[in-house]
Amino acid sequence: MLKTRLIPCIITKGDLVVQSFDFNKYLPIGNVKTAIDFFVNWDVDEIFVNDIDATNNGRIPNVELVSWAAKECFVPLTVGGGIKTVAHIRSLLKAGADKISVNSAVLDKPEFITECSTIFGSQCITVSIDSIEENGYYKVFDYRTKSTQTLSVVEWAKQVEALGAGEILLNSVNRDGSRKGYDVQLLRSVSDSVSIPVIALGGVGRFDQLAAGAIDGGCQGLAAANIFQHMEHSTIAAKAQMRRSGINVRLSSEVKYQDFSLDILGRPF
Amino acid sequence: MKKLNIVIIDYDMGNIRSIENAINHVGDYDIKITCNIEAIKSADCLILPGVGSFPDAMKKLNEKQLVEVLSTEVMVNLKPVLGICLGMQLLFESSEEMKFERGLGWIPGQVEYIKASQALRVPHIGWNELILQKEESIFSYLQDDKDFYFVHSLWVNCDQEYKLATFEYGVEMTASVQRENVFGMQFHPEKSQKNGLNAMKSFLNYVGKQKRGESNA
Repeated sequence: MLKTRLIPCIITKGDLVVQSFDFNKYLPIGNVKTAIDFFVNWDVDEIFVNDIDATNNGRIPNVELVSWAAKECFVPLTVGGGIKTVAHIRSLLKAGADKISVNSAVLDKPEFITECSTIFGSQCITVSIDSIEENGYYKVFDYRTKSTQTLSVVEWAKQVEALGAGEILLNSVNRDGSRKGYDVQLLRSVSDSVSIPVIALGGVGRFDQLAAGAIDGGCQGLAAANIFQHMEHSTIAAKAQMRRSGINVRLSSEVKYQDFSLDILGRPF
Repeated sequence: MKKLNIVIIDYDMGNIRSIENAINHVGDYDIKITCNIEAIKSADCLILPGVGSFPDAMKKLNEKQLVEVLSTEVMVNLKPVLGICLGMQLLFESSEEMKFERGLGWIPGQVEYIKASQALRVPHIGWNELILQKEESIFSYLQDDKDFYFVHSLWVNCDQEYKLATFEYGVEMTASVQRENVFGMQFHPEKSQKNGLNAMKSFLNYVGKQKRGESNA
């Protein structure tokens, strides 16, 4: 029997891992290599690394990082961010990526999905879809311009499947960083419309919220980002808490948590 | 003793670095990533990787004029070979991926599409459990945990006698095959953590025993 996958997402801005909130606010966490290193030794089923600044900054995917990760990473690695050409994909796969994820490149040019899946096989092409809910409708969100598209998420999902996508990574702008759990209605609407695997993302703030993505959302992979990235920051979070209690502490780090609330465990959100 | 000389066939089809990394992790071997005919001839064993489509892979093997030398080494000189994922599918007679295409034909059988439905999504992506088909094989080391990572849209339909392991996905499908010196793994041993690394090691141990002229487990 096929197992439901647990997939930690490492969201980066270049080499810096961040936590993302509402597709809008970002908290720096640390070095991407440290994060990958942290995951590979544990029971993860797959690792997803997505550079969310690559497209806007005109960066090409970081092949060197993939080569490095593939040396010790004996679980599947999916890489996204800035991928626009067949040559990008070829170099990433050769370096050791197992799947690649495309988002904005295929919003501009949907037929790129077909081009890639014909060459590399659909099994290595993941299409990442960002959804935003407006007036009860799920619409495609273009993160480059932070704008809602007229295209419905379900229609886009069906289209990418028909074009040859092997898998959909479905993220929710409304739930991003919210800790409210997955938007299972969104997940269900897409998973019921396609017969390729769907990976849930967006909103997991507690581990007991993961299962709903599979049970109610019908997804084959359960992904989460922020929740897996608290360990690196534990001393900084501790100091932020101390400072809020009026204690005079040394704060040398870039990260001060000033714009964030702290939860009961002192973790920022 | 001399190190095993392993050639990973480089024909521009995919994840060769990951396979090299995995082999390096399990032992001290002399690994070459190449399509050089002399290197293929002098290797102790061959690894045929593959990510992509079947017709494209056969086209590349033909363009690089590898089919004849590989067939001679494998079928005449009985050199051990391991096909991984698409590389396993290439070992068979034909595939229906995109169009009918002949394969290397070293093991009888056909490559067919997995029929998709919402209950049975295609590609088959993720960790699935091996169901062992032989008392003794390169998988004899496996204990309770038999999960391996798969990512593919087609499966190999072949005679039971060649199946070392199957997996369940709606119906039982072929996970690993062996015909004499020809081995195939539909899953990715290089991406299946501890189990996968052990599978790789187990295959290489078989090659080592072959080379020393010992009988095979």
